[in-house]
Amino acid sequence: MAILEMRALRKVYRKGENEVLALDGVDLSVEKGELLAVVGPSGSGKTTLLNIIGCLDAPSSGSVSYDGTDLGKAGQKRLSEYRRSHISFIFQSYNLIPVLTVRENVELPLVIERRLKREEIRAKADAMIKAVGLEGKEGRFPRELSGGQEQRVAIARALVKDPIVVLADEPTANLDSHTAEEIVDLMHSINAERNTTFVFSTHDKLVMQHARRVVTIRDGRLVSDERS
Amino acid sequence: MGMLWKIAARNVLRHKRRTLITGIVMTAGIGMFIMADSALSGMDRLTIDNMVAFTESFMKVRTPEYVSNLQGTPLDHGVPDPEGAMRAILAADPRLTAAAPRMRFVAGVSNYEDSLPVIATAIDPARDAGVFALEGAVSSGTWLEGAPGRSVLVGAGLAEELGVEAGDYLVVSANTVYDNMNADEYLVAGIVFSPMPEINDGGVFMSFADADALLGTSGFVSEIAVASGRIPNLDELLAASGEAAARVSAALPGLRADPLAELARDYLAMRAMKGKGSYFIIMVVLLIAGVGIVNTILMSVYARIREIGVLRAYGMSPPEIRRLFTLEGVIVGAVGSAGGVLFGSAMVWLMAVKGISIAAMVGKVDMGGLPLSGTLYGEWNPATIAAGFAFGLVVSFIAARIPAKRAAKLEVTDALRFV
Repeated sequence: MAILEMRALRKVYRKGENEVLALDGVDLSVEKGELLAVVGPSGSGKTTLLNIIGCLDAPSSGSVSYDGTDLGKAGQKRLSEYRRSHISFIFQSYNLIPVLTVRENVELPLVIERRLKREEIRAKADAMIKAVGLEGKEGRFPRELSGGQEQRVAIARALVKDPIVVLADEPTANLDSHTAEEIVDLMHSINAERNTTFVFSTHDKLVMQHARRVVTIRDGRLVSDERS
Repeated sequence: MGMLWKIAARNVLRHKRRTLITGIVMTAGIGMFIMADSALSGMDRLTIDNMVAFTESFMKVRTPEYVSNLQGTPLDHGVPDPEGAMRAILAADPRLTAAAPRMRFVAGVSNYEDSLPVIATAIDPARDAGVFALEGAVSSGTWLEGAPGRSVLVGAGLAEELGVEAGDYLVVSANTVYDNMNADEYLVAGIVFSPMPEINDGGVFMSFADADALLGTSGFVSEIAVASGRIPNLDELLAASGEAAARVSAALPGLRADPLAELARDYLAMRAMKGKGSYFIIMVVLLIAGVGIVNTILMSVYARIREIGVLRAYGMSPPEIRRLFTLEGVIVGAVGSAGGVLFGSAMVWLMAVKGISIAAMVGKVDMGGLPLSGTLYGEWNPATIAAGFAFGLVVSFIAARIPAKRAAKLEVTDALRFV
């Protein structure tokens, strides 16, 4: 069953008098539990596609629906609300909040969401920290962690609210090859255990190898869609 | 909200130097304001106390006709039956402790070479000491009570100008009630050095007996000066004087009792202007602190654009982002304001306990005719301390809103791209 459906997606940016066509009629369905890599050269529309999937931006035309909820014409407020409950992000530079501890960083999405009680938030965060192998480091601050550990915290933060989809923007780009492999293995195992849907934007061959589906985008169009 | 507090407070602590500089500016500004207000209040108190002790007293009772012709210092329209009036005054209000008659008249004093015009005052030496502090201000010679007949007290500045000392003689001349000029020779019994420039530079005091002999008056009293017990707070002193004057006016038909607020009207008007001046000073200082806060928070916004992007990506709304940065500014402002209150209070405590000698502070300079000498004690003013703290908070809130609004307006995608 498709949890994400995009049909005839177009995105046009206006820069003064000029128009830039970033996405040109993209059709894409993502199934629950997929591990999908979006690849393509710089300026191909990859980031725009991910921004729209992540509800960070709205398309100029076309439809986007999550689990049956159409967000194609939603305004910023609606997108923000949807994002708060259903979508998570993993960034290239981890982007942890430096003044919050590991536990507080992981708790953050649930605190922002304001759905659970304090004790439930704590329990979920601790379970997630354990799942990414950082048990015992709950009270540490990001500056006290290695790059790989920071990315593990970012993964725990992304997964703690059980999102429909996790968007990962070049998640291994700042890591050495050994740590990158550990992180990709971790996401792969989480995907297998929890059936969490991951959408990657990447240039990393390792990530592409682990992905079950690789979508290539060029000049705003999908040019290939390969499943392994 | 708990998480917002946590992030805001920790960011404030994280950028210690920035916070410290802004906090110090606010601490200094608010502290100086509290201190300046205390010193100004202390100056007011000292000035009013000196006026009460040497010229104006707590209240003056005169006839309305005399008051309407005050500038001419006439020798008619005096207080009828002064003894009875003094008894009635003291009976009218329990706060009134003493009353003394006085008579003011225009005179000339001469050292046989030069002559100077003065406003002379006739006093009852025994009673006057119960209302005024003139006796204690005799710096050389003796007080009139123990002096021989035809003696005067002369202000120190006037004595210097005339070149006379205690024990010398000078001539006092004046228009009599018969509208002719009379003059006599008087012993300078004592020299008076008081905090009142008008006494030092033009004060001549003699007994009622000597004044009657010179002017041809017979028990004429132009005013009755009244004293009260010590009232520590200046505003309470003014209020008590007003109430007592109303009672005395009601008890003595045909006479008017002027309270201290009326007697020191010019000075009190100037005091109100000074108060406005001190608020202007705090506005300028807090404006500087406000610019500091805008700068601190703006730097914080620019340093944390990616962080803002992450918070927005995870669903934090623009109002929450605005609240977060406003909170940071208010925390800095609260710390600075609290520091200002502590610093200012410590300085006020020092001034209130130790006092500052005006002479040691500014030397013997002319204070623009103000009766400002002696030891200045700081006055506690809780309203000023509260106002200083509140001003600090309000300024920091307003200052933080500007960069906070900017942070809230950032597009998520732009913020996440920011390097």
